[in-house]
Parts: sequence; structure tokens; C-alpha cells
Amino acid sequence: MRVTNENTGRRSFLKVMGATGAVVAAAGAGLMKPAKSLAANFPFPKEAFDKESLSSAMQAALGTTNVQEANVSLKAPTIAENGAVVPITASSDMGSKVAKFHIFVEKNPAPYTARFHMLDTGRAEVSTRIKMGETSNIIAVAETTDGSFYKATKEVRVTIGGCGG
Amino acid sequence: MAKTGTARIRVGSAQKGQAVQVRSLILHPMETGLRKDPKTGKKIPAHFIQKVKADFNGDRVFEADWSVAISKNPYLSYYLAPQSSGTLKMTWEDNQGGVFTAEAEVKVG
Repeated sequence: MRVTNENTGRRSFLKVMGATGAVVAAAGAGLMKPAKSLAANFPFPKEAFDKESLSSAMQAALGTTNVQEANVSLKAPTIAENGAVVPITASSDMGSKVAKFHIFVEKNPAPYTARFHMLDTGRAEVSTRIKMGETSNIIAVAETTDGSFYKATKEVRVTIGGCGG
Repeated sequence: MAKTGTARIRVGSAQKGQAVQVRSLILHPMETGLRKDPKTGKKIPAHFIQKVKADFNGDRVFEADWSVAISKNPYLSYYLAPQSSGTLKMTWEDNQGGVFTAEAEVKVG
């Protein structure tokens, strides 16, 4: 959630500095952007996506397995008609403090499923559809801008598994 | 059979400074690499979208990293809080070098 109006900030910045030209404009442009969207560069987390247990996946993705169950909501069906297409929604009342959502499916061959970077989104909520191989807990973790983690867990029962093995 | 990479974005009507929902869908097999071709018995190679990027008026507002466990023909919804009208551009990149894009105009009233 963007709090400042970038254009007004930049114009008044230039006015105060009394400066001319490209150098200040370029510096101003960089300084005025919300920090989260500045030169965002998130390498694909291949190693974490390859981990085969929930604890090793969480350790690789988050740097910890010790996450408090709070401040996050996870919407998912109690019983999934089709394990190949399970709709989930992760959300949090922490708003712009949420930097990322991480999704894990405990019993999948590789539990780490997705990572979402909430750079300038206006609402801490994301939805997608995932594959589940069997009945399992789904864990949604919110990572805040100050490096804390919170999670919500929901068990989804799967009658027809969706990993296609 | 509709073509891999065909994508669609829908954005609700936006009020300045308010969050508006973005819904996207792209046709893609999201093949895990674990499945065997029933005819040949050979494993079908993994073919899945790894990276999704969303830019609004040139600024990155949202990004996603996906594993093979995202469903086929992946649906993705997130929110935007536009300060002005503009163009939302999404890019999907898969593990076989496929790059697919779609755009939507967002009118802030």
C-alpha cells in the first residue's frame, strides 16, 4: 500500500533543492520510489523448491521452522473434489507490513509450492490453485518487512490425488 | 486445443487509492516432470511457469515464484492500489524459455 504520492514528492524535492537537470531528477526518481519496488530482484528459489520435507523446505525458504500461528488467514476447501486443482487464498490483516507470502503443502513430494512478493499491492491477499498429492496440511506463511514470520495452517482432505505420478 | 501462453487479465473498476482485485489466467500445462506418458512409458519432461511479474505503469508491483505444484492453466489473483490510470502488464516465464505477456488498462475514476 503506497502511502506517498510519488509525483508530488519529486516535484517539491526538486523545487527545494533548486537544482537543474538530469542528475537530480535521476536521484530524485530513485529516492522517491517506495523501497519495496526499488530494483526488485528475486532469484528463483530453486534449492528451496527441491526440498522434500516440510522442515527442510521451511528452513531453506524462511531460514527457520519456528513460526507463530497468528495474523494470517488461509482459505481452502475442507475436502478437495480434485487434488489437481485446489483453490487457496492467503491473506493477512498486517496490510503493507507483509512483504511476502510463502505456501507449503506438507505431504507433497516437494512441499514448498509458491512465493509471492507483495511489493505495492494495496492489500495483503493472494489467491491461486495448487496440486495436492494426498490429504495434507497447507501452510501459508507471511513474511513481514522487518523479517518476522507468521502462519496459518489448514488441513485439506483429498480423495483423488493431483500430482499425476 | 487452445494455445499454451494464451493469457487474460481482468481488473475491477478502480477508485483512486483503493485496492482493486486483479484476476489472471494463463493456459499452460504446468507439467511436473513426474508423470509418465501412458503410451511410451517415458517421463514427460517438466514444463512449468517459474516466474510471474506484474508491472503497473512500468513499476513492479507484484512478483511470484512458482513450483511445479501450481495447477495446470494457472489462476492467480492479487490486488493493485493505483493512484492514477494506467497499464498493468503481466509476464509469465517458464522453465523451457517460454515468455508470455498480457496487458490490461486500469481506469481510475
